[in-house]
Amino acid sequence: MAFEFTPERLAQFHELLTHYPEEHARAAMLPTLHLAQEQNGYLSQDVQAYVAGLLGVSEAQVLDVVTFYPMFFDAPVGKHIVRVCKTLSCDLCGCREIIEHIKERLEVDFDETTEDGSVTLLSSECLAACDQAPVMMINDDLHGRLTLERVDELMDALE
Amino acid sequence: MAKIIMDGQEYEVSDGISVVQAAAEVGVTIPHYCYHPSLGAPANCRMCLIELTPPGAPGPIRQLTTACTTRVGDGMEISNSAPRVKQARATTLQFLLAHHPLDCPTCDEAGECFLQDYAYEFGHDRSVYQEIKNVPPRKSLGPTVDLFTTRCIVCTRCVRFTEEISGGAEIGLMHRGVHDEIDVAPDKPLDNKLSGNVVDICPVGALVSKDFLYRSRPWFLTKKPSVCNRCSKGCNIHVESREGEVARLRPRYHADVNDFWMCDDGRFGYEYVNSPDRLRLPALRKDGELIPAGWRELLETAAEKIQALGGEQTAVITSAWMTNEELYAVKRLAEEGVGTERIGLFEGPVEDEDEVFPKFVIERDKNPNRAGAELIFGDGLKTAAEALDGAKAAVFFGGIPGAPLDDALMDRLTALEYLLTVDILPSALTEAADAAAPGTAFTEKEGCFTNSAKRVQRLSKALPNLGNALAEWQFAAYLANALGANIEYESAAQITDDLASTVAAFHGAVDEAIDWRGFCLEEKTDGGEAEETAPENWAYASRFWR
Ligand code: SF4
Ligand code: SF4
Ligand code: FES
Ligand code: FES
Repeated sequence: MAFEFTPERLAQFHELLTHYPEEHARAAMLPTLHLAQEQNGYLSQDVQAYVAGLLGVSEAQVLDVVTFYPMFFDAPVGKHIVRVCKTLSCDLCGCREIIEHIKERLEVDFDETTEDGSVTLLSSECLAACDQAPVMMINDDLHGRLTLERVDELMDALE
Repeated sequence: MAKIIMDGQEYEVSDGISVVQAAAEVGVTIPHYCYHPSLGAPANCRMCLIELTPPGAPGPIRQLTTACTTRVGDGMEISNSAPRVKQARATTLQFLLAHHPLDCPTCDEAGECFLQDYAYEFGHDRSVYQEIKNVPPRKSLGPTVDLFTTRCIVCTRCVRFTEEISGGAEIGLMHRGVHDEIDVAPDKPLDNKLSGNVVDICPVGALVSKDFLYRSRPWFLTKKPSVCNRCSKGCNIHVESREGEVARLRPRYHADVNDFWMCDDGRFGYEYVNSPDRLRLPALRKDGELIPAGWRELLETAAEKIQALGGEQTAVITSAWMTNEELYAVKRLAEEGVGTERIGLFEGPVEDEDEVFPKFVIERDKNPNRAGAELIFGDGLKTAAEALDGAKAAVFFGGIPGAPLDDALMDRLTALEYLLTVDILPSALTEAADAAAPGTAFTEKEGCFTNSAKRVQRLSKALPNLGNALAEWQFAAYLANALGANIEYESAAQITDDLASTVAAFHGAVDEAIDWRGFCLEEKTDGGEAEETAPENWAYASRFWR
């Protein structure tokens, strides 16, 4: 079955469109893709084609956006997304140790998903929370002032 | 007009055009990659940086400015040579070349590459970049185009072309930063009839034509201006040939006809010209076979046959693929030599509709010179089948590859007692012939086509005639004279002039008046001088369009 929005999401999509000038449906690409990823978990070719159709753009124009933003996935990912910042402030505050710890604990490298499909580990450029370095994001939540203990706590909480 | 000062010198340029174009108007190069006058300007390559003093300002603005997105205005001052301008360009080039493989020796673009040219003129001979280069693989974008991904400088001209001109938006810029890569979506190849144009606009050797790849170094090609013969639009082109063969056709800028573009039907539709099967020698049918013969023998037997069967019973079939000059010579052959009113037009296909893209139209009439034929022959012109109906003999000028003969036409041809063909390739037509004369393909012709907008446009003889082939106008004159007429032409240009003085529609269209932009019959015959369209683009094209 080809991908389609659920009726609720389709309604949400139509509401979204009202925020943009009619002749510029393309401008609604980002929120539409988020909506699609929410439903499908990742943006398969099928999903991208569906979004292209909805917005009246080409599939290349969708792929262009999908591959630009690290928040979009074009392949299946785990149930939880863990992003660890590895830019300067976090590096100065010891993120390397934290990264090593997470990798060991999950038995994965960056850009890999744990065998049980529960976590995908990603590295990230500055998460714009340098004051709380080192930081990571678990799904949509930011966690700062990380210590190894705090990381374990957070990891334990993930099923 | 606007007065500007560039590098201390005062110039008058068209007001409101981009600084790149204004400089081109006065013969100055401002190097650029992403800018193209027929595409939107994203100013992403940073190659065109200049120092700008706006009108009335006390001094130059602090940052360098992109010449591609700056419009000239009266009193503007520009430095195209300040040390910091030169420095900026050299630095930009270093960035553009950081991941470039520097594989010029095996690159199709070498010799006509703006990366080479600007690196030579504005660049450094070394790079401070010491990291590992990205080496994304070469890939196919579609049936006609390959991408040497490593050579791409990410100017996005190709992306904008498919968005703005051809409209399918098949090409996108995938990934981010240093991993930027031009690509198409999976299962959505670049497969439209304007695809070849992206190769022309790519300023470097990234996009290449599969047809032309590794065929010739560009500097070995001989380039002649001409006109496409694949539809009634009459796109202006260059025929680029090497050692007697067409190597490629590329669009030549024309503001009112084809802009910077041409379609793939025209671009790749030349293979028949190079065919090893091309007819080279006049031939007469003996014992069922066409046997090579001399011109004299062919002309004499043809004249005898036509006279024996009766001029009025002889049809003269002309073709919508012939030049004005050839058509006019055939008209005289029919009237003064053969003496017949059976004059018919042989034509290629006509589609139901034009193929319309956002900014380009491929015309439905696949005949380059129907307008010329209709104007020259006027109301007396019949269809080929009508003219042949009940005829005993025919002189048939073909020249359309694939000879589109329907059953009705075939029946009438086989019913003839004598058929003389003038054609370029063997076909059902020459199979039916009693005598077959070799003619010329459009790349071998001199003369003009008249496009659907009644613009008379000049072809140039890019290649020599094959074997013993005669130009059609020459052959028509010889045959007419063998039949007792007296037609003396020494060149196609003479016919152009003759046509201009005898056929009212062509009044004024003398050889001298037809320049490489053509001669528009409709505008000029009613006395109005057309205003030049997009003068700044002509200047741009002559400087930057290769
Ligand atoms: S492939 Fe050529 S035209 Fe397209 S972005 Fe790269 S350099 Fe520009
Ligand atoms: S549009 Fe017509 S004239 Fe132009 S390139 Fe195509 S076939 Fe040739
Ligand atoms: S460097 Fe990690 S949040 Fe800024
Ligand atoms: S040509 Fe001006 S920035 Fe590219």
